[in-house]
Amino acid sequence: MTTIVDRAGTHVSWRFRLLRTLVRRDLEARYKGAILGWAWPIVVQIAQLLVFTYVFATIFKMRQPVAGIGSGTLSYGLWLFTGLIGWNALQAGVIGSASAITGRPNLVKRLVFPLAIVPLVPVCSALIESSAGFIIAIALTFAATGTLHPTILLLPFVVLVQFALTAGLAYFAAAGTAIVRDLPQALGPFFLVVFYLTPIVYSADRVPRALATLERLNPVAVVLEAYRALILGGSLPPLAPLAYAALGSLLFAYAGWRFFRRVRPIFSEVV
Amino acid sequence: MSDDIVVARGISKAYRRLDSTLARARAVLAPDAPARDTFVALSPLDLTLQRGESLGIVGRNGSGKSTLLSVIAGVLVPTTGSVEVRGRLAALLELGSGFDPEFTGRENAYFNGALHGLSRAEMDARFERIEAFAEIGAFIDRPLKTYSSGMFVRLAFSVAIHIDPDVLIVDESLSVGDVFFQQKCFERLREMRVGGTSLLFVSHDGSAVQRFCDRAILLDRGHVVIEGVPRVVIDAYETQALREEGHRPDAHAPAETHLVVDDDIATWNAAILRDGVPAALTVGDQPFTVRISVTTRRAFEDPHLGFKIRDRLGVVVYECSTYSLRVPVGPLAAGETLTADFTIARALGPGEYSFSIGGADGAYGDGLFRHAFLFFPNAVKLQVLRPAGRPGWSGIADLHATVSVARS
Repeated sequence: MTTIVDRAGTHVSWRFRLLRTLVRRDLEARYKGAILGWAWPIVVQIAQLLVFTYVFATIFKMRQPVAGIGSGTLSYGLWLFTGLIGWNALQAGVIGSASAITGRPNLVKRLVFPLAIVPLVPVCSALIESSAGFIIAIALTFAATGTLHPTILLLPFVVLVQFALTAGLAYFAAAGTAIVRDLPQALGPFFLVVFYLTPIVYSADRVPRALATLERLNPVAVVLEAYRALILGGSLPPLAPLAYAALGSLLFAYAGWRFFRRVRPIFSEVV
Repeated sequence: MSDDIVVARGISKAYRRLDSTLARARAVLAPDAPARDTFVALSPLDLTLQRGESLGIVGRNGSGKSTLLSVIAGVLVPTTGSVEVRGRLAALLELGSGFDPEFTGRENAYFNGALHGLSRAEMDARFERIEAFAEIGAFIDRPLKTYSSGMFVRLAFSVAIHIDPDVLIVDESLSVGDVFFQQKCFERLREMRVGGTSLLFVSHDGSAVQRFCDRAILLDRGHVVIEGVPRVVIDAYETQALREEGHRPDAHAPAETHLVVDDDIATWNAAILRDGVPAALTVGDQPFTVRISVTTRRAFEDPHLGFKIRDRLGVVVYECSTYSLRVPVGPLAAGETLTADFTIARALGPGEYSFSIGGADGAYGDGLFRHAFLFFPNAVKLQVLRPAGRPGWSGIADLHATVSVARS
């Protein structure tokens, strides 16, 4: 190994600053030159809200009561939308990170670079973009109920849990792609399956009893339920599953990081 | 010891074949398992670089230079050994590495600064100097994809030198810029070395290494062939190159790019004389004279002149100097002209020979000098013809054999 003793390289704060710079560049690059620019994430979220509400609430007549809004079309749309925000950030983050290493030979081969921050860039970008969705969800809830739930102040904690979970997946995806080239392709069907196995378009109580236990082990479901409780219900999510998801996600993120470090030596030879 | 800024111990690199999923999985799961089908790019070697020292690395393509630099820069994980870099390292490994073509020169410069641990404020303080050195004008605020390769290298180099590295690695990338920019870079590198920056410099250009480095190594097929003062190493490198090009008809054509002439030399001349007149042709049984003269701009304490004869294959046939022949030259005043006539009796076999000439000041034994002021590989050519009649010998050099025969 090459050790570089450097006043910069030894500081965690330096890595943090670099990550921030990379995320900023990532987001800037995405909207550079676009007329709507930073409004795009909001447009995307609103389009999703409208389409899903129309398909599931108007056509399929799905209903989901939300405290203070009732159980009409709007309540289901808002409920679905709130669950989708986190899901989209998760999926976008992991898919982006899968090619984060193999897609940047410049960074890997010719630059002394703390590569461990690279898979985190799409993860952070996606979470930041999703904040537009959270703001819309909170604003709509406020418009419909007239109350601003104080529980939204707890959102950052759930976002942190989601960050750990996504980061773990991102490390596995980024390093795994260096070994198995099919991985980015495999992520499409993987997320399709997980999407419909997770109570996102339907509520958890519709899951057959036999599978309910399994569903409780799904950390994605726990996180998305927590968002809904904090934003729509103004209530605290069940703490035990959340604590389990938080701990599990942290361990998972650590495992992903270890795996990433294990694969790192071959990066410069395979990209 | 404490002044060593780069310490590499036993570093080697063997590339595995990683073109299948199975091979990649094996490389990750059992990195130390002996792999079949490896290519050894670098055999184990030690390398240290002191603060303010400048080390040149020469060798042909594929000799392991880039692998060595990549390992030291920390981009490539060595198969064995370890590297320790005690300070900030900036590497210009390849043109435009670490730069994003979609972003402007300014944005890229700041990003590179962040990469090397500089804060925004620290970059703000330097930016004016970076901009001034790069001399790319309004392009600084345009996306990099609109840059020419020359502008690219200007910016990359300017950023690299202004982030105050303790070690700077330069891999040929300077050769892209124009001559004036190169001169400016070399000037700046010289200043930085005085300020304590160490330099790892890879080049095909022997004269640049000669001018610029305190020490050099020659790599061949991943091995260090020779390490030492640049003059000796470059010589070995050029011999190697000549040997390989030996069958090309223009192998002896003077390569102007390799010429080293110090600013302290006003004029210089080198010629081969036969009967007092310049000649490019001689006959094997005729003596000839190698005349080298220099006119200096400043005083030299202990100047010496010398030359080296190579045959068609680049083999050194003979080398000597006023120093090796123990001719006192003494101190030379500014403006004085020093002329050395080396007369060689009939000694060369038929063939084509090239003469490299050199001049240096301050000998300290073993053919080493403190300062070389003139170096011109293959400056003069001489065609030696077979003498009329029956020659008494064949080969490159007449060793003046005597023979006694006994019969019993």
